[in-house]
Amino acid sequence: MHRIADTSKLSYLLCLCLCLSAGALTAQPLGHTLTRLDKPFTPENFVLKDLDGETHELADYRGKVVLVNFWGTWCPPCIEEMPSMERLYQTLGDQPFTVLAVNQWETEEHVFPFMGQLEVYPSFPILFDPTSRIAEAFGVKGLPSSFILDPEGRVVYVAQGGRNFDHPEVVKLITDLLPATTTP
Amino acid sequence: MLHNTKMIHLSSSCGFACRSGAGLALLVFSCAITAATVEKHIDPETGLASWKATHPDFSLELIQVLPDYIRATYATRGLPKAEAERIASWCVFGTIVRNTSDTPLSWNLADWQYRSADGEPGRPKLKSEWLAEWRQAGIPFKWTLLTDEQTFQVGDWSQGFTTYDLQHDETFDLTWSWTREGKTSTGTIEGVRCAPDR
Repeated sequence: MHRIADTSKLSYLLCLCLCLSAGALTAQPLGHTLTRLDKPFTPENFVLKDLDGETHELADYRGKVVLVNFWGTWCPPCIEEMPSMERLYQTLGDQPFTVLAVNQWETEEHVFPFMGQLEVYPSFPILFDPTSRIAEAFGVKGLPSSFILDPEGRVVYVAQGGRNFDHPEVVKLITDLLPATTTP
Repeated sequence: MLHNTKMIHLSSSCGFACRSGAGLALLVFSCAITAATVEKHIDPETGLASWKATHPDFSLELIQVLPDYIRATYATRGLPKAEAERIASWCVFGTIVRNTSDTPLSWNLADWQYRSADGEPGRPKLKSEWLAEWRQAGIPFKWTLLTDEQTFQVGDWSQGFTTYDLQHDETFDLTWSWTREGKTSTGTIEGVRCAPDR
């Protein structure tokens, strides 16, 4: 039994190392272009658990701007963009804004040790979509994929592939979405 | 380490202009705006090779992936050992595609083709084809492989594995394509080599 666990752990560490080295190999500046949808849409509501087992319902964030990000630990650009999401989250921390990073397929046991390897430990909620049902409902075809919801809960911006989320232009388009009374 | 840099196949309109013997200035201008360049890179730490084809519209990067990496990737995500071994026996590349133009464009992996060193043609096995087989085997895992086709908005990009029915260490030429503003363009990366089995 121990042997199986050890093998699994070794495989995971090998995977992690190779994943990070693959990321380094292809590292290049992340872009910051987001696509504004001509026809915003309201995505399916979801209720997902976070790393602490607390539940998060998308509908509860109505009234806030929400960045919903779909990611996995094996995906180098997902890891590369995560520090910029944390900086964005900190920058707008006192505003009605949040980030929901929705992990695909993996488990808390898999993701928790991985988070400790990151350059910056995310303080926003890390949610789990173990069957990828929510990703499918959003129409996600590849990771990472990001969706910005306005305070009415409509997806208004989308991005396929990693982005630099604390770029001033991204910060501005998000602050422009904030309710007028709260805009800094 | 940048191994070499060479101009390779041009998108279709440029190739035609070059062959048709248009005026030199026109030819140079046309080629300059549509040529793709390919850079081969060898990672000094791993010895693994990658090829990056850069075009004003669309860039493609292929990164050798060792079979052990494929085994680890899938074994740690619940695929049965036999299935992880099966996909590890294929020629697999980490693949990055990117819209580098200023308009939307689309691409479809089913339109890409390769030719092996002995002249045998083929196309990458699609994600949907792998998933259909995995579903039949009761495996619901659906990530890591590059999606079959996509429309990219400005700045969009994607990454994932692409798989080719070739032997480890085998060499081939890959012709890839994309469609932008109704016009389909192609490029070819010559001499791509599958990762060794070590």
